[in-house]
Amino acid sequence: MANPARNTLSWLTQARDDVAAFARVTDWTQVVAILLLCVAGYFSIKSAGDLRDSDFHTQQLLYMVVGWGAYWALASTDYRELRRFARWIYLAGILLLLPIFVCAIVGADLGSVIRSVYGSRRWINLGLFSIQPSEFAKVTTLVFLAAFLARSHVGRLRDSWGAALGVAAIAFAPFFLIFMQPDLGSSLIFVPLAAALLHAANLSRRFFVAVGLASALLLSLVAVDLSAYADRVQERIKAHPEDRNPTASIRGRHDAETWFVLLKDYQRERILSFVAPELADPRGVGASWQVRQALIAVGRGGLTGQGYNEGMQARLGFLPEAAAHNDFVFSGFAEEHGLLGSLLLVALYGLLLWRVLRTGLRAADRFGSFLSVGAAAILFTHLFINVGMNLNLMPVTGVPLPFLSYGGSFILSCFLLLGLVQSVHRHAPGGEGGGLPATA
Amino acid sequence: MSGTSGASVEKIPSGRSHRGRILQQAGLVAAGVIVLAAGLGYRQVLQSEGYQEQHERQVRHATLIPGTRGRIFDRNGFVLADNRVKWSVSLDLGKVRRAIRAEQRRIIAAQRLAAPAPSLYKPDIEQVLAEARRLVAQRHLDRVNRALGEPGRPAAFRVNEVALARHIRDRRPFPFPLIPDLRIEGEDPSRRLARFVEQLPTGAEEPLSLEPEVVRDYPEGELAAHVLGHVKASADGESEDERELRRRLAERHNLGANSFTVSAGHRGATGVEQSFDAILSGQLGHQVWERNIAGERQSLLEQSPPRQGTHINLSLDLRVQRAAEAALRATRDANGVSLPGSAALIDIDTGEILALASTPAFDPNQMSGRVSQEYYNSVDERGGWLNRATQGLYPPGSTFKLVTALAGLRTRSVRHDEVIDCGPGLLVGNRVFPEHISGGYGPTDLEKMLIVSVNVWNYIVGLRVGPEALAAEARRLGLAEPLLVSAHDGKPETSQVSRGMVVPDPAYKRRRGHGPWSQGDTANLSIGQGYLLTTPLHMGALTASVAAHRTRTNLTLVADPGRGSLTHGGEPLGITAAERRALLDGMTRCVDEGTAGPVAIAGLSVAAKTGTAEYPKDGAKAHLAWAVGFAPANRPRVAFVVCVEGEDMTSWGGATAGPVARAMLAAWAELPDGGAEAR
Repeated sequence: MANPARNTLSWLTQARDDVAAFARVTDWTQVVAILLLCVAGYFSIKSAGDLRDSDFHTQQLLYMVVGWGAYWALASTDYRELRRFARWIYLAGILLLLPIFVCAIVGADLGSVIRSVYGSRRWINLGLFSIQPSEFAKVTTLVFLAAFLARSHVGRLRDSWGAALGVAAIAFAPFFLIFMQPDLGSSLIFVPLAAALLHAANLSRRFFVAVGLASALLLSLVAVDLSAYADRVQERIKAHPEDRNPTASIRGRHDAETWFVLLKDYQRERILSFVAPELADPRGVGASWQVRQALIAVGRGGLTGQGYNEGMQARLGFLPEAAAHNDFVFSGFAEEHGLLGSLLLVALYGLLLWRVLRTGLRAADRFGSFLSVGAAAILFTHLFINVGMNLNLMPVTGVPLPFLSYGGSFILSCFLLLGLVQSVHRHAPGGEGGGLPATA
Repeated sequence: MSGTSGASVEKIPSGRSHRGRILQQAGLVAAGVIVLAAGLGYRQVLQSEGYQEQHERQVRHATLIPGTRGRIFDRNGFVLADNRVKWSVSLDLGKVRRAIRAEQRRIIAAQRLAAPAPSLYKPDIEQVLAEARRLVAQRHLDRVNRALGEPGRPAAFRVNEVALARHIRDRRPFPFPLIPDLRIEGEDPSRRLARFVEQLPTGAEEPLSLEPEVVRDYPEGELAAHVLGHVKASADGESEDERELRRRLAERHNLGANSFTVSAGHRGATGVEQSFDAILSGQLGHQVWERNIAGERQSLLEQSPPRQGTHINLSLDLRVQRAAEAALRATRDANGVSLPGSAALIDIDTGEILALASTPAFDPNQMSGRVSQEYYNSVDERGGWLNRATQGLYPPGSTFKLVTALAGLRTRSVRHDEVIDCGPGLLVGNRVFPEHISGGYGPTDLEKMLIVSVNVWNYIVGLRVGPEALAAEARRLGLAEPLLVSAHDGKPETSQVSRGMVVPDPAYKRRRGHGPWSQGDTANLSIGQGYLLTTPLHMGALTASVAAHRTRTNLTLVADPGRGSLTHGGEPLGITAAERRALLDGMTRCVDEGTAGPVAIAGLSVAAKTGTAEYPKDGAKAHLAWAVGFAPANRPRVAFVVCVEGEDMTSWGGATAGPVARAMLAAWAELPDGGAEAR
C-alpha cells in the first residue's frame, strides 16, 4: 500500500512468471493439434453448407470459442480436485439423461423441450440452445470410472471381479439410458471406454478373453435377428417388386413382432445395409444412399483432392445436407483435400492420441493416468468408427468426428476431455505440481 | 459400488505392467490409424476413377439443341416454309431458389400459427413447396405485366399452375415459360419485345429471361401443303446424328442414358419436310451442364452451337400452284357441292413439277406443335390428309385411250389412217359394250377417236392388240412404276410416293383369284376401266412422255432447270412421224372442236384428252373427271393432268376438269419465262 507503483510492478512480474511457468508445463503439441483440427472443422462445415447458405460454421465457431474457454479452465485447475466430486459429477451426467429417458420410455414429447426427431430423442432444447446429454455423459462417466479404478485393486482375475463389476455397473447406467433414446452409436462408446480402462488397470488377460467370447455370443444373436429381418425384407420385395425402398416400407412393422428387443428396425436397416447393401436397399436410394454418396466424395478426392470449396458432392447436394456437415463431414474433407489431406488429418489425430496416451504414461497418479487413457479411448473410437463409416469399413452408426463434425455438445465434450488431459499433463512429475500430492 | 476397497492405491501401481498396457493401447491406436490410412489409399487412389465416374454420371447432364431448319422456297425464291422466332418470357427457377425457400418458411410459419395445435402441426412439404413456387412465379409474372404496361390477356395475369407442376416434373432444369408466346394476334410482337427488354434489363442475377424458340412457319398456309408436308416435335434418338452425338458425349462425360434432354426441335413428318429432312434439319448443337441434386443447372462444362440446315428450292412455281389450287377449290358439281380433286403441271423438258395440287388440304402451321384432336378430325373428315395427285388411285378412263392407240400403232394392229366402222356398241363375248353416245360414231380413224373419244374404236383395237401387249405398252410408259424417286440416291422425293398402281393382264387376274381373263376384260382395259388403277401424276408423266416422243418422264420436285432430257431414261416412243402427227392433231382438235373444249385458251394452242371414268363412290357409281394434255401443241413445253372426284354421274372430263387445266395453263402462260414467249 505504501508504494502502489512498486506493488503493481511486482504484481506484473509475478503474473509474467506465472504465465511463463504455466506455459512451460503445458503440452503445446496437444494444443496445436486441437487448433489445427478446429480450423479443418470450421472450413469443412463452411464448405459443406455452402449449397444452402447455412450458417452452421458460424455457430460452430461460437461452440469452439466456448470450448476453448472450458478447455483452458479445466487445464488450469488441478484435476486431482475432481476426484472428491467424481461421484457427484457422474450423478449430474445421469440426471441430465433422465428426462430424455423418461420421455423415450413413455413415448411422448415434452413440449418443444424434448422432441422426437426421426423416432429418437437426443436433445434437450433450452430455447437459446440445445444440449445433447449423452455427449456430457461420456466425460462425467469417465471421471467417475477413473476415480473408481484409481482406488480399486485390480490385477489377477480372482481379485478383480469386484472392480470389473463396478466398472461394468458404472458404465452400464449411461449406456442403457442412451441406448433407450435410442442412440446406439453414442451408447456403444461406453463399451470400449470401460474395456480400455480395465485393460490399463492391468486386469487379467483372461477377463478380456471371456468378454470377447461373450461379445461373440451377442454378435451371433444379432446375426440371428438380422437374418430373420432379412427374410422379412425379402418377403416384402417379393410381394411388392415395384417398391423402391423396401426396408423403409416395413420399418416399425417388424419391431412389433420380433422377440429381440435390443435392436430397432432402423438400426437393423443400417447394419443390414452395411452387411448386405444389395438386399437392404436394392436401388441405392434408401439406407445406403448416404454411404454411397460419401464414398463417391472420398473416392473422387483422389491423391490431391478437388480443392477447397470444390467438394461438389456436398455443394451439389448429393451428400445430404443433414449429413454433410455432421457425420459425413470427413468425406467432404477427403473430396476437397484428397489422400494427402486425409492422411495428414488422420496423422494429426494419431499425434493427438499419442500425446494423450503419453500423458497417461507420465501421469502423477492412477487417476490422471486413467483419465488420459479413457479420453484416448473415447476419441479413438469416434475417429475409427466415423472415418471407417466414411470409407464403408464400418456401419453407419451416427458417431461424429471429434472437432470436425458439427455439434455444440459434442465439441464441448471433446474440449472437456482434452482439458482434463492437459491438466494431468501439467501436474505430471517434472511439471508444475509434478509428483506432489494434491493440495487441498 | 461394490468392489471399492478402502485401501487407496495412489501411486502408479505395478508400474511397468500398467505402462505396458498403455503402450499396447498406443499400438492399437497406431494399428487403427494404419487401417484407416490403408482404407483411404484404397478408396482414393485405387478406386478413385470409378467414383469419379459415378459422380459425373449423377451430376452431368447434356442438352441437345437442334439446328434451325433450312427454308423451303419455290423455284423463284418465294418462301413456302420458314422459321419464326417465338419469344417466351421465362423464369429461371434455379435463380429464385432462395426466394422460394423463404416463401416456404413463411408459409409454414403462417400455417403453424393457424393450426389448432401448433406443436402438433406437421407441414405437407410437397404442397407447401408447390405453393411457394407458384407465389414466387406469380410475383415475377406481375413484374412482367407491369413492365409491359398493358392490360394484356386476362390469362396472362395468373401463373398456369398445371403447366408449372408439369414443368417441375418433366423439364425442371429448364427455365419455366411464364408467358409462352409474346405474340398477340394482330399486334407487332417487336413492340412488346422492345418494351420488355427496356423495362427489365437482365443482369446475372435476374431470373427473368426472354427465351427464343424457333417454330416452323408456312406463310402460304394450306398452299402446297401435301408437297411440303409438315414437321412434328422431334422424339429422342430419332436420327443417326443424334445417336452419334449421344455416344460421343456419353463417352467423354460419363453420361447415363437418362442424362440427356433434347430441347424442342422439329423433324419432318411428311412430304418434302420428311423426305429432305436430312439436309433441312441442320446440325445438332449441345451443352453439357453440371446439375445439383434438385436438377438445377450449376455450371456449363462444354457447348457447341447448332447450325442451320440447308435451304431447298422446289420446282413448284408459286403462281401456278396458287392458280391450280384456286381452280380446284372452285370446282363444283351440278348440285354446287365442292369436289375433291388434284392437278399437276409438268415441265416436259426437265421433268420439274411446276404445280402439284390436291384439295382439300390442311394447314401445316397447325401441325408443327401439339396437334389438336379437333383439327386432326376436321381434316380427316374432309379427306384432307390424302395427296390425291400422288396417292389417289383411280381408273384413268378415256385418257388411257392414248395408250390403247399407241399399242395398236406399235403392234401394227391398226394404222393411223385406218377407218373403222364404229356402231352404237360392240358385242364382246355375250355382252354388248356400248358407245358413250347412243347411235355410235360410225366411220372413225385415230384422229376422230381422239377428238370425240370413240369407245368402240378402242374395243376393236384393244381386242386386236390383245391384253398382254396392251398391258406391256402401259408398263412401257411407266404406269406400273413409282414416281418421284430421286435419280441420285433412289430415295423417294416425297413421303407420299405412289403405291398400289395396277396394270392388269391375264396373269394378274389369275393371281388375284378373279378367274380367267375374258375378251370383256380386254375391252374394259382398252378404255381405261376394269382392274386398271393409276394416279393422276402417272397420267401427267405419261402425257409429258407422249408429248416429248419418249416413254418415260423422270419427275422431280426440286428446282433443277438445267436438267437435261437425257435424265428421263426409257426409249423413243416408237411411232412414225405421220402417226405422231395424227396423234397431235387429234388431241389439238379435241380442244378446238371436241370433248376438251373448256381447256381452250385464246392465243395458246393446247392438245388434250379428256376422260370420264366410272368409279364406285359410297357404294354408288360416280364419275371421275379427267383431263390430260400439253401446250403449246406444236412445240410442247408443259404437260398437265387434272382429276376431279365427282359425287355422282353429273361430272364430266371436259366440263369439270377442263377449267382447272385451263386455269393452270393460263397462269403458266402469264409467267415471263412461260407461255408468254410460247404464244
